[in-house]
Amino acid sequence: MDWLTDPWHFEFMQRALLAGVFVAVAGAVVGTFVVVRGLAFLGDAVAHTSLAGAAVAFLAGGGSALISLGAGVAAVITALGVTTVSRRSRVRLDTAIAIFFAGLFALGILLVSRARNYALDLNSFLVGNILGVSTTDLIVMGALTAVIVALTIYFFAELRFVAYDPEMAAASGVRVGLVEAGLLVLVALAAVVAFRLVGVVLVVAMLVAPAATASLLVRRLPQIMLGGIVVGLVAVVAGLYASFHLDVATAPSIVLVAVLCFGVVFLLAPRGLRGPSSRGARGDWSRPVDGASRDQAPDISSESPSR
Amino acid sequence: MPSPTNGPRQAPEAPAAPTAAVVVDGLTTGYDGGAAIEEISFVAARGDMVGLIGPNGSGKSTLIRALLGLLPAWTGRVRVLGREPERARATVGYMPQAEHVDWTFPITAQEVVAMGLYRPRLGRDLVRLFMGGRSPKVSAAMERTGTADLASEQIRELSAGQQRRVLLARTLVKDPDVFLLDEPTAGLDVSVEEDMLQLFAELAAAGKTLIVATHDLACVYRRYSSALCINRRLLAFGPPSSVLTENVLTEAFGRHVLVFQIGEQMYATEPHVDHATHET
Repeated sequence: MDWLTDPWHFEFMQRALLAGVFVAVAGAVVGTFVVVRGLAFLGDAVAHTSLAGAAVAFLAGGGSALISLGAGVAAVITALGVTTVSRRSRVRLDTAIAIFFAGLFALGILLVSRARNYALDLNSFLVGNILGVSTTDLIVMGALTAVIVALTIYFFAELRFVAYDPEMAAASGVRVGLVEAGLLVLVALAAVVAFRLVGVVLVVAMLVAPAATASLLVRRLPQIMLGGIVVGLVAVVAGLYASFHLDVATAPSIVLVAVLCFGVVFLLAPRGLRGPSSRGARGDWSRPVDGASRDQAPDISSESPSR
Repeated sequence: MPSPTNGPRQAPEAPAAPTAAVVVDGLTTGYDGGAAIEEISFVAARGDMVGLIGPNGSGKSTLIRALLGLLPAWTGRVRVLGREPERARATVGYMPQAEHVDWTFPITAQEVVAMGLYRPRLGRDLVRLFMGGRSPKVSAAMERTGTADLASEQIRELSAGQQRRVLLARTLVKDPDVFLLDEPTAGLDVSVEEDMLQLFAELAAAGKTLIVATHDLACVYRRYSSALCINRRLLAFGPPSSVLTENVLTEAFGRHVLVFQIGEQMYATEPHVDHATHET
């Protein structure tokens, strides 16, 4: 049974495992809201654009902590910028996301290419590098994960209320705009936690796959979060083993296990739980809170919607 | 933003009569695209059951949103129980249109109803939060709407009628004094609608004020204490029999509407169109 214990004799594997635990927890907790609100594309954009911030911090001579800070700043700028642009204009949400995604990701790659002389490996940013997880990185990841979990628990009622029914939430005194911005910041923080281990390209997988898998099996948000953490941990551990023994890249291994979990559960989950969505996928984020565009045609004959 | 110079035009400064639950005075408001309702004035007393009618796009939902304090008054004034709408929220129950609600959201009926108890400060009640919202108030509201046995069901698995009852239970749970209901019975079968109307009548009899957006003109005629007909502007307000007339409805709906009465029943229909709002 040496193959079970062998990997953990190496310090870099221990670090990677601890980093993976943080990624699983942060990814599932925030990912639950990403999944129920249909924010996967935004999450992906936020993760990719964090590269620009990380690169700026690196070029400025910053260490691990500063690189994470830079990544976080860029991620938050994307998250808030996207919402601002789509709210204040006729630009559709997914268009705004793509603009920020493309622009800041290109900037990130450009900056990193400039810094190549300094031995900064573009690959390690794009697809992660478990050898590159330093002690400082672990401290930053752990602290951010703790902040994410604490904020999510503390504001759980507001986050769920706004996710489910923003209009009613506003009518009940919830500051909907603030909560939505807060959720985006949480997504950005989770992306920063995850990008060191799995790279900016695959962060979205750790946000979406574990929570989506859990959502096929359990039906309440706290359960989805806990289930997502379990799936994420399975993916991290199995992915690390696979990577170690098969000598393949770590990040894709972890992500493939997570996606495989989803596939297996999707095929095996009881039909009733998997349940067809009665109303199709909804881009809830773009749902206008004011609803001003509804009901324009003055038409006596168009009564209530048939259900 | 409220501008005093443009303020009350029709109604004189409404005396703060103890029976006035909702006072709307020269209200104009809307969205970025422009005003959606203009110069609306009416007073709903405690115990009133007001049918808010008008064609689609006439501003019914906008008016309700203004009464909730979600839209600021551009001109004019809104008072709910003597207070500004933002300050009256604890005493106001709101039921959004069912089609605005995400029915695929992973949440149980009981958790939805418990949301009605949300207060910014009580949001910190972590234990109840993760226990799924069990509380005597929640049980009582679900009992009253006939949804008690659905408590742990996922909302997506409920029928349209059950979903609507759950939304109504969420509105009832905090025992508000003013109910703002946006098309609560649209698209429901008669049995659910009848249950709801009975409940509305009980609430009104208990001194609650209800403002109900609806397309069911005949029902307003027969069951409501007053009717408020708008199409961007106020067209008529008063007892249903004085509001639901051919003149008013024709103006409201922009085409000729025939109104006739057989016995106690009132019918409104369009000539040449195979569509009638009538009793079943």
